[in-house]
Amino acid sequence: MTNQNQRDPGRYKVVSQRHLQAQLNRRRLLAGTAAGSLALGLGGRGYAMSSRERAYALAQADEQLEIIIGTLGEAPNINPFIAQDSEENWRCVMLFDELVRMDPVTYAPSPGLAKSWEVDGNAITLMLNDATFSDGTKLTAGDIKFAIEGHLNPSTGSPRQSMYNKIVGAAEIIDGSAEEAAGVTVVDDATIRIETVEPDSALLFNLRFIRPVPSEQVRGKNLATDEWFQAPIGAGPFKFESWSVGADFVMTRNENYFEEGKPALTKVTHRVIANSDTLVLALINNEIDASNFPTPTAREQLEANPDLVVMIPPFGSPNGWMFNCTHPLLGNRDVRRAIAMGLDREQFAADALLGMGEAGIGPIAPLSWAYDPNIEPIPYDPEQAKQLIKDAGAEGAELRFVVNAGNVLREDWLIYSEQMLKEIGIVVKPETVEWATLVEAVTVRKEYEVAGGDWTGVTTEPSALWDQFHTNGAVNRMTYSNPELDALLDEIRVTLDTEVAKPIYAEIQKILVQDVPFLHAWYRPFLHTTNSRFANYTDSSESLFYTLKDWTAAS
Amino acid sequence: MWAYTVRRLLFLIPLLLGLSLVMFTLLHAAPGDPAVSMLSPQAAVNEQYLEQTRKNMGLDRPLPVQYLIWVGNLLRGDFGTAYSFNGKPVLDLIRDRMWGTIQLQGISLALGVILAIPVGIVSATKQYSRLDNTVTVASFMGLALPNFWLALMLQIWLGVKMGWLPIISTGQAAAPWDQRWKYFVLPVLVLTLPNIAYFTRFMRSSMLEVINQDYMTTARAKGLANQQVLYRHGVRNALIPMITVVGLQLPRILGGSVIIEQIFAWPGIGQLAWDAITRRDYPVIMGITIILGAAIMVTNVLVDLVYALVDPRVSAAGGGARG
Repeated sequence: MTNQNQRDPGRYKVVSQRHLQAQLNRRRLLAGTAAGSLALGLGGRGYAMSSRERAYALAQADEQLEIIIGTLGEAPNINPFIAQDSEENWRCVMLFDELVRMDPVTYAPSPGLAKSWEVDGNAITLMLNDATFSDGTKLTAGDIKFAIEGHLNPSTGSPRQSMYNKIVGAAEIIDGSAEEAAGVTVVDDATIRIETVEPDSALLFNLRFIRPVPSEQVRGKNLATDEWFQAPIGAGPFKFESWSVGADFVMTRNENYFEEGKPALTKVTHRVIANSDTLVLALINNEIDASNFPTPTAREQLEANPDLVVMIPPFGSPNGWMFNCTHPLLGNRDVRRAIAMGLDREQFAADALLGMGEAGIGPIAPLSWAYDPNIEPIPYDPEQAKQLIKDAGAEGAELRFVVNAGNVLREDWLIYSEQMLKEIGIVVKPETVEWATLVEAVTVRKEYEVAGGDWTGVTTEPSALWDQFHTNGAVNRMTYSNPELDALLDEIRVTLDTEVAKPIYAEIQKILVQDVPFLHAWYRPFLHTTNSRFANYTDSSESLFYTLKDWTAAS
Repeated sequence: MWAYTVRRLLFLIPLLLGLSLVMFTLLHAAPGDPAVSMLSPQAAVNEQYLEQTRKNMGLDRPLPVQYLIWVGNLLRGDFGTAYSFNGKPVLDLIRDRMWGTIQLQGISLALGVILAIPVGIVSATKQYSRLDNTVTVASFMGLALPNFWLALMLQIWLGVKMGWLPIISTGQAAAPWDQRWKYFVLPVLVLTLPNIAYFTRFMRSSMLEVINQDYMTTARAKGLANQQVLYRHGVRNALIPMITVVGLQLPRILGGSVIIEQIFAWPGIGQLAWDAITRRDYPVIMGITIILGAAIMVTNVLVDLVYALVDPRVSAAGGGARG
C-alpha cells in the first residue's frame, strides 16, 4: 500500500472535469437513475462536492483500472494513414483497431474488425464485425473502402501505398485518373471484396494497416495533414482523451467497443520519459506501471522489485553490417564473405550482449513460420578470411564503417569489428553520426560503405524481403542484385500456400547468408516490464502492449 | 531616456530578422531532411512519397520563397504548424511548455540569488576565516559537480531509497496543491546548487572590491559604525554588478535545461527544442529560436536600463562615466 501512496498522488483523485462530466452523463443515460444517484449520492452533497472528491468517489464506485506506460520516445502523430514510428503505430492500433490483426505469438493473420474472410484466387472477401466508432457512428464496409483508397491516393503520401498497389484499379488512383478502386467492392454494409491483379501472398497480412476512420467526417480532406487527426475518432478499444506532446498521451476506454466486456482498463497514459536511467528508476519506484524500454543492463535492479514482472521478448530483426555493393571492393562477394568470417559473432554475443542477446544468422526472425532452423552460418575462420582478402587484392584496404551515435551496443559492435578485421587485413575507419543524418546518407543518397543497424530482416511478414533484397526492391539500400534470388522472390510473392512457400524461403535464406549483402550478426536484447497487478498480457517482439485490450486486473 | 529605450527596442527588429535568416540557413545547410525523418527509413527510399511529403510540408518551393513565406506569416503572428508533435501550431506547443520551464528555472534562479547574497557578504567580510574557506570549497564543489550525476544520485537516494520524493515530474500540474511541491524539490535542488555557488563567488568578490574603496574609508572616518558602513554603503554598491550577472542568467528561465528536463521528465522548452532538432522539425526550431532570441535581446536592454537607473555613474544617453 505504501507503494500506492508514493506513486502519483493525483492519479485516483484528479480526473479532468470534462472526462468526469462525460462519465456522469453516460452513466445517467445508459445505466439509468440507480447509477446516477449513486454518483451523486456519494458523500451526500451532490454537486456541492469538489471535483476531487467526486472523482475519488467515482473511482471507488466504478473500479477504475488505470495504467501508466513509460516510453523513451514520443510518437510524431496519431494519423493512421501516415503512421510510421512504432509508438505511432501502436497508438493507432489502440485508437482505430485493425481490419486484420496479427497473432502476437505466431504472427499469423487473425480476425480483427473483420471477423472472417474467404480467399478465392485473386480475391479476398472479408466479413466485418458489428463494430461502432467511439462517437456511436456505425463502422461499414464503405469506411474500409475509404481507408484502402486513402492509402493509395497520392496526396496522402502514405508510406504504405505500395502494400496495396496490386489491387485492381490501384494504378488509376495512383496516377490520378480515378478516385475509387474498381477492385474494392462494397458487397453490403458488413462485407467487402478486394480483388488483385495477381495473387498477393502479403495482402492479408498488410490489411492490418487498414485502420479505418469514420469516412464521412474526413472525406475530401487531406488525409496527411488535416486537423481532424489531432483528436481523431476510431473504432479501437480506447478513445483519444488528451495529448500533451512530450509528456502524457491519454486514452480512455471506448464504451462502444465491439468486443463484449473489453477493454478492462479504463484509462491508459502513455508517458514520455526521455532519459533511460530515469525510466528504470521510475519503474523501480512504481511511479509508472510498465514499459517496453528499460535498458537490459537494469535487469537485476528491476527484478529486485517484487511488484514487477520482467520479460525478455522474442527476437525480432538482427543487427549487423550492411554493405554498399556499388563499392568496388564490397561488390565482390568474397570480400563480404571474408568480413563475415573475420567476425566471431558468438563471442561478441557472449561478451557484449549481457547474456540476453544471441548471435544471428539470417534475415528471418526465429519465430516466423518461414524461418529455416537448418540454416548454416558462415563460420568464424580468420585464416580463410585473410586468404580471401589477399586473393581479392583488398589487403590493407580502408573501409568506412558507420553506426548511429548513442546506440551503445552498436558502438561496441563497431569497435569490436575494427579490432577483429585488423587481423584479416582490413582497416576499419570507424564513424558515428546522429540518427537522422545516417538515415538520409544510407537511404536517400546511398553514400556509405558499411553501415550498422537492423536495416534489413523480417519479423512478421517474410515477403517484405522482396523490397529489401530484390534488384528492384524499394528499400534495397545495398544496391544488391542476384538474378537467381530475384526469381525466388518473385515466385514467393504470388505463392499463397505457406507449405509451398517454406522450401522457397529456405532457399532464399541460404542465398542471403552465403552471399552476405547484409551480415545478420546479433540479436539485440530488450526487456519488457509490467507491474504484477495486471494479468492477461501477451509479450511479443513487437510490443508488450499490442494486446492491451485484453489486459485485466490480477486477481 | 525614452528616446534611448525606443531606439534600442527598434534596433531589435533587424537583429531578430538577421537571427532568423542565419538560423534558417544553418538549418537547411545541416544534413538531414525533415521529410526523411518524417517518413521513416522504410518509406523514404521512394521518390514519389518523398516528393509528396515535401509538398505536404511546404518544402518543395525554393529556399528564398520558403523563408519569405515564413517571415510573412511571422509578421502576422503565425509561427506555423509543427511537422510532427501532432501537427499542432508552434505557438501552442511553446506556450504549453513555457510555463513549466519558467516555474522551474524561475524558482531556482530566485532561490540561488536569495541564498547567495548573504553568504557572499558574510564570506567577504570575514575573508580567509574558517567560514569563508568552507564557503569557497563548497562553491567550487557546487560548480564542479556534473548536474546529471547529482540528479541521478538524488533520485536514487531521496526517491528510491528513502521514498520521500517522486522521481519523475510529468503529471505534477494535475496533482493537488498540497502534493505538488514534492515534484519540485529534486529538480529545483539540482538547478539551485550551482546557482548558489556561482552567485556566491560573484557576490564575494564584488563585495571585496567595494570594501577597499576610498568612500568606505571616508564613511568610517566620518565615524559611522562598521555595520552601517558595510550594509548601507558597501552592500548597495556591491549589488550593482550582480544585476548584470543575474540579468545574463535570466534568458535561461525561458530556455530551460535539456539535461535536467530529460532526467526528471519535466516537459519544458529545452526538451521540446531537443526533440525538434532530432526530428528536423523546422517550424518548431525556428519558433523557439525567435522567441528565445527576442527574450535574450529584451533582457539585455532591460539590464542596461536598470543599470542606468541604479548606478548614477552610468548615463543612458551613452555619455559613459561622468566621474
